[in-house]
Amino acid sequence: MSSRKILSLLLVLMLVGAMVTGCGGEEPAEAPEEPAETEETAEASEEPAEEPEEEIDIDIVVGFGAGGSNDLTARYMAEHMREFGINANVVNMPGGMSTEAAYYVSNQSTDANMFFWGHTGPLLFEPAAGDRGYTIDDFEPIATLASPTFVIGNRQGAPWETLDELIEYIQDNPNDVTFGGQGEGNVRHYIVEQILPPDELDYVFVGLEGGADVALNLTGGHVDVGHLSLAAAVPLHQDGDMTVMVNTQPLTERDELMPEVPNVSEYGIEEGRERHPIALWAVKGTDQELKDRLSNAIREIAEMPELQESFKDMGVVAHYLDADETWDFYMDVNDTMVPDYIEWVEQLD
Amino acid sequence: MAIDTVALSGAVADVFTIQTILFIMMGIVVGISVGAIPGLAHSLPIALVLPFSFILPLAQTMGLLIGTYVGGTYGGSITAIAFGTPGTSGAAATVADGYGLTQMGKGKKALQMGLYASVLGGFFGSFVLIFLVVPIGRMAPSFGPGELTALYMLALSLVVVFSAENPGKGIMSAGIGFFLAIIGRDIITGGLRFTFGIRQMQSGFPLVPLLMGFFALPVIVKEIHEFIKDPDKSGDLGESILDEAKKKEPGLTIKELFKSGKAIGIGSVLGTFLGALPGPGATLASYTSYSVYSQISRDKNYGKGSLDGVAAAEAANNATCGATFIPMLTFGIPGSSIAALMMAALVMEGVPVGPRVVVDHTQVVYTLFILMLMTNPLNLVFGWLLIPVFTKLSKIPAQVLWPIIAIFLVIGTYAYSNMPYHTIIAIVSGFIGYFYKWYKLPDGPLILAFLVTPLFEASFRQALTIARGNYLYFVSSPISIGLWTVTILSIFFFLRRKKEIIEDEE
Amino acid sequence: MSSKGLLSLNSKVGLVVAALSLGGYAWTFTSSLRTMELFVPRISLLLMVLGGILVPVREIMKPETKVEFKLTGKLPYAIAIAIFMWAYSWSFRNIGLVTSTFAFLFVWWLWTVYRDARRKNDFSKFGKTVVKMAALAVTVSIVIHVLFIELLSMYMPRTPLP
Repeated sequence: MSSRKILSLLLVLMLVGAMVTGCGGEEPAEAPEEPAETEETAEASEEPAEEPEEEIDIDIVVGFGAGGSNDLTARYMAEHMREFGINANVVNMPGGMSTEAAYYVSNQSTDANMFFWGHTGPLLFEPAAGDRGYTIDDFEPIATLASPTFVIGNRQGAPWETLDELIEYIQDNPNDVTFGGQGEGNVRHYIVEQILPPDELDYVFVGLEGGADVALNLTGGHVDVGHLSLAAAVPLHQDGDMTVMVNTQPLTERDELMPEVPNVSEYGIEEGRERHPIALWAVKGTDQELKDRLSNAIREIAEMPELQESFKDMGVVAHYLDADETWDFYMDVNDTMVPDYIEWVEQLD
Repeated sequence: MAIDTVALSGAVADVFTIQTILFIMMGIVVGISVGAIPGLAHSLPIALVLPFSFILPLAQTMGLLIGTYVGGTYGGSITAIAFGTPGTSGAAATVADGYGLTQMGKGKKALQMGLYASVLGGFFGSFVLIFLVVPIGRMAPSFGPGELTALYMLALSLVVVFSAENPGKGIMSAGIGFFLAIIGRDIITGGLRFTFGIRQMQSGFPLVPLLMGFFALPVIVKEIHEFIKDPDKSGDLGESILDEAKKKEPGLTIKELFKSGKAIGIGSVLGTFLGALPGPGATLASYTSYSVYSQISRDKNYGKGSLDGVAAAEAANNATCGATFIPMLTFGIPGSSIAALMMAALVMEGVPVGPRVVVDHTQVVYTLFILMLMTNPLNLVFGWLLIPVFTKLSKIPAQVLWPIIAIFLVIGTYAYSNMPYHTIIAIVSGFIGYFYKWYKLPDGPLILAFLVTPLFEASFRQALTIARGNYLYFVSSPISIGLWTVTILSIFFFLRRKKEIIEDEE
Repeated sequence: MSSKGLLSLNSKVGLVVAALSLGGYAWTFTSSLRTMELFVPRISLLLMVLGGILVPVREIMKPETKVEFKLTGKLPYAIAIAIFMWAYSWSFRNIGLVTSTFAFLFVWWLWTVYRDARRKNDFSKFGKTVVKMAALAVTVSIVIHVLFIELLSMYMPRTPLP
């Protein structure tokens, strides 16, 4: 009697399990191999021929939820890493503008094979603004791969079309222009003030919540000028709801997705470039051989037309910097931009 | 938009293939199963199937994703009704009435109502998506900071209504909700608020662990306490389950379904409207609809075990599924994290999502529409198959069932963000929930205040900046004026209605 | 609850919440945050003060609104369950998911079965039930492993046991 009951209970539990396993299970089994074989067969087969390397498993920790450019760039990279015998698992650890993830990785042992996918925000600006439990010195760079492009655009029907005309307009019409930025008192706001210094130009800056919010407010005409990612701006630009005026990409001057848009540096505003390309970081003391292997893989991934195309569609420039170049880039930001930024934050209120 | 027959027939040919339908079904089963696990947001399986867009054709990928989304949104309500533990945050509003009905022995009715309301709400949302995507999409950008401030004030005014019966406790509950919402980083400046020097507190009180702990822990405590104090009542291991389960429970009658038609209607409309606006999402939609209907309902059991309550909440959260696509297809702006994932999948399939997608990729858009319509009947079929399973599961003796739920809760909240900190948040929220149960505070104001506060605060502060100190900005557009009028009128209407109902009862 | 006392427990708790919130409100003036950042926190604390004061006021105006505190005896249980949940969360991250799931469930069920048998003074079915419960614990552990690790590929630290 009672055994029947227990049995039925087990059955019910198994059923629930089986539904998930049975239906989802077939999928992952075949999925990961396929992309490796379809497009990149040539490269994949060449690589191991030269130097048969054993497969390794690594975790790449992303400090944002799934779906954003930070996450997607990591996922594209991980997808292509399989061709080099590197099974990269992307782990999302959102929270605290990516500082949670950085803190977590910084506390891992050197043989945990866990890496952090992040930019100057969590690695330099956050620790400089307050104690986050780690600094960039807890990490070692592997390579830079992705540099998202940000742009400044104006709403439909605005009486200016270029950055120079905007500046002129603000000078002629003080307290008339409303600028919608991504947050207030952060690095992105700081960059905007480098391009449009508020002590010379009289306009209102409003901190909106993110790129999508800026896009919506520009379309609705609630703000006149906005600062947002290129990916968010392109569809609106094509539809005539806004005009992109200038990009702030740090690694290249033009972005292939909209090559006609000039870089701020072309206006002589070098400090208006947003210097946060995303790099892969290892815990300090990680095996040099492993780091080199990853770095070499990333170098080849950066050249793949397929990846470049995917990045381009997201408004991200695929640009490889090796470990030393990455470190130099970050140190330059640390020595020049960070002190000015901290000073700027302190004078805010 | 005129119908492009070539594109439409192409879309139909894409969708009505065995493979695509199998993928939709797979998505729905995965969605319902994962949605029913407390703590696991259904954005997780969607993120996991995302890489398939590298290899599968568009219709199949999107079928899988949309199936997971729709199934997951519904799945959350199953555990909310059967165990009082919402599987997704969108189902939190279903707990009070759904679990109330289960405890009255009407669990099957509640589960069926949840399913039918979800499917009907889902259908409504899909139809609105298809016919009104362009006009609604054109309206969305008119909601700037000023208009949004008015809209969120309307949502917050529901708190006042909630508190009408017991003002002191309602206001206190809302205050606690406000306070929990502002812990962490300031949404605009990034300044750290009330983190008390604890590093993890910087990421604030996340919604999912908060809701899971808040609702689940008090139930777990109650059940385990009952078992320890009075073991006979909960039945022996394996002894009484079958006898209990053998008793046929009456299902939902058509009459009951029709009686809740009004609740389903209100839920569907509010869910679609709130789902179309970027930001708020399923949780706000279900709570708003649930509380709006609480003011109209004359059901004395509302809030304790009413089919109307389940209907209003469930119709609303599934109606948001279709509506989420509206800002995405008209502006390329993802209205929620799930929409962002769908957009990513479309981009990977080579479809640049933006205002021109309707014109340039008409066939893709039709495919999405047909998929949305297809998922709802399939959701009905699978939900229907699963209801007996869950009705039986809810009759497992307490000492077997609740430890398993507690374990799922712990792993679920951990898997949500891979951070042990979220488990602590769930436990702390559990104590808050326990205090609420003990002190008999209403939970509606807490959840509404918690959800709306960040949105309201941001819009209000942005509006003040744009207004340059001129308060007339808040009533400078017809939409704002309309919303303020509705807010004021609805407070009067609801308070009068409440008074009538109280008088009726006396 | 106390019919002749000055204030019921209900009112006292309300006043305690009000007092705490008032303290918090005063404290915000010592905070280094900007006024804008403190705007909503101050509103929330004032709402709690108002709510806390309204509870006794309402009780005085409408004394018939009785409040029974049913859950009072359960606080130790709540604390114990919270500790167990945290312990489980620690153990699956540091020992292993399958091992700790099995251990936690089985120990609990072993205790319940033993308690049941002792209460009824009938140990004849004890062994059989224990084996059944062990099997159930194994099943649940495997389902959890398959679901979270294999299918959802949840991130797990490397643990000594599975």
